[in-house]
Amino acid sequence: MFLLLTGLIILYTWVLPQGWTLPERASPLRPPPHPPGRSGALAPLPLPALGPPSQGLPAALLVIVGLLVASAMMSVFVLALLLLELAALLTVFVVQAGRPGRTEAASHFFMIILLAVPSLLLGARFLDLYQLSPDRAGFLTATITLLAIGFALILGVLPFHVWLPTVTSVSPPLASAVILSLLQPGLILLLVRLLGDAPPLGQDPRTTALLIWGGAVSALGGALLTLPRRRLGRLLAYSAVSGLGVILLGLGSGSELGRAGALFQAASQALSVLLLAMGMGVFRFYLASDEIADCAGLLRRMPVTTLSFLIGGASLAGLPGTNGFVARWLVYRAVSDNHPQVVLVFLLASALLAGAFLRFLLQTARHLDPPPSRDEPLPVAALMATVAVLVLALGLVPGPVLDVINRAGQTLP
Amino acid sequence: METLLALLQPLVGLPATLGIFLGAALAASVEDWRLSILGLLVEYLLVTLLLSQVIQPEVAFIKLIAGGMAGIILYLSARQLRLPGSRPPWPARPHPPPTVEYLVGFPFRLVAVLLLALVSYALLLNYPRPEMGRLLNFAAYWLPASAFLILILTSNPFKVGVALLLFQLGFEAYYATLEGSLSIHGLLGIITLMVALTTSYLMLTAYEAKDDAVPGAGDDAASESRHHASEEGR
Repeated sequence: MFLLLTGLIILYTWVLPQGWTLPERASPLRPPPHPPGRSGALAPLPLPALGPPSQGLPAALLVIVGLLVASAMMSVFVLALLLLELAALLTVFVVQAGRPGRTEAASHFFMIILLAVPSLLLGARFLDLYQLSPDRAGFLTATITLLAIGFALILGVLPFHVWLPTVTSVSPPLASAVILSLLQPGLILLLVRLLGDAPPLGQDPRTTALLIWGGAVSALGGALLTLPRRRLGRLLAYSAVSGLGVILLGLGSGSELGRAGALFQAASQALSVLLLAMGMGVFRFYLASDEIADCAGLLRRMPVTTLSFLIGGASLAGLPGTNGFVARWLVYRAVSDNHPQVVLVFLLASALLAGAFLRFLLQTARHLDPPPSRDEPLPVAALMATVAVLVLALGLVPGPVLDVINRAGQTLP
Repeated sequence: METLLALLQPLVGLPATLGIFLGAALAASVEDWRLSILGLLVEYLLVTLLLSQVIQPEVAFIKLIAGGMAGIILYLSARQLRLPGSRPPWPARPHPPPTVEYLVGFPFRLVAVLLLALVSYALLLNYPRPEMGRLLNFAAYWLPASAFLILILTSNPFKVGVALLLFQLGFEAYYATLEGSLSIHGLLGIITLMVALTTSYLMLTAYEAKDDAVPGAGDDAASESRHHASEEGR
């Protein structure tokens, strides 16, 4: 249901006038960083042979959403994973979107899927074999190793994240939204079900350690890497890597509370990333730049879009009043008894992420001479404001959604 | 199907081993796109033949059908784009600079292929799976190894696609002996086709970039790498 809702928001943003259908245009403030027709990420390049870059994308998006919903409803892990792989392969087209400069990023994503999924399939098969003959401990070791490699690659856990910043900085924001707000929650759901389906896997100390420490490394490393970033695409990628750490920590706790927190964080992060991707699309279109340095005066020029973007960032950082805070609070409560030092690491990561978005806020609040006039794409700004209000509402009144997550959790193994 | 399998039966044994080794070696070490596709098709044929000895031939045949269609998709795309091996889309430079792609030419690739074959053989000796048979076991180690070699040496979308198909085939050779479900093998066949279609799309966009670039100014992958290198740390 959540995947369907997120998919529809993405599709609606695509359809909106001044949404993601528009190509980036030349900046009135600053010339584009690369000459047109070369490999620049933002350089507009008409491709008569391929048709307009956006052609066929709504159909692809609908198929992707359909495959993901089918995957979420499938009870057999292997079939669910293969449907998700098909959705991910279709996403390669969205990442590329008919622009030559994006071929390398699309190839990276393509390779990651094809290398990660076999590892997951083999891991799942070895798990079945282990459950048939529990005396062969080698099967469980192989399962943990293969699943860890597969999920780390495809989710972008640090240090296997290298493909993600490339994709988010080069590809259209739509692709970032599809990968981080649709594919990633779909994969998290698969992981949750796998851990619940097989108690020997979920309760093995090696699995717990991998999830907790993998989560801690991702959270802190991702947050640290946001600090020196000067491009919005990379800020988005590293923030998402850091948020992923919270999900892994919640799953590693092994408790109902931690699992509920992880699922809540997956949903919260999907909404926050959606806000950042929508904002990035608007900024790229109006500024013809992905540089944070070029965002000076944005708070005055497009206040709704900028504030909504910042609310998304605050949610990713887990600041109080946002849904990200609720998710982190649940996860911290689940692990604070056994791993208090890990909670400190996550609090530090939160502070670093908040610092990165504060830097963006200060940049957008800078005065320009002459001050920019208000120039905001109203349909997209209205949609962003709606999602931002949802993010705040879930932060202030999380009860109903938590009830739904708890009920969903009870249906899971 | 049974007639074809009976016809190919004499290949089981040393010819199949040589075929599996040479097919992937050809794809990994030779630039010509026709030979790469030929190598890929040989792999699909021989892996299907070997798989038909250990699993239901109908299931094994899915690999050949999917692989054959993938080969046709790649052939049509490469032919339409006139990839190197037929006619280069831009004039060649008289004195190519010593780039990484120049240094890792045919001799280097050949040595790497031979070393990887030795590694695969060592893996076969140390971690055998008796139920697979030695030939199929060798294919399951050798195909992913040669795919990794191609992925390390090139960023050309055509070669990347061929490498990913080889990797997928090596994995399927192993996985088919563990999993007998027809629906799963059908889905894996669809994924093989999707991989070929995605590769064609990426080839087309990369070619458009080359076509658009100044002749001799370097290929798309190289210029993109330079672009990304300048992006690092930003």
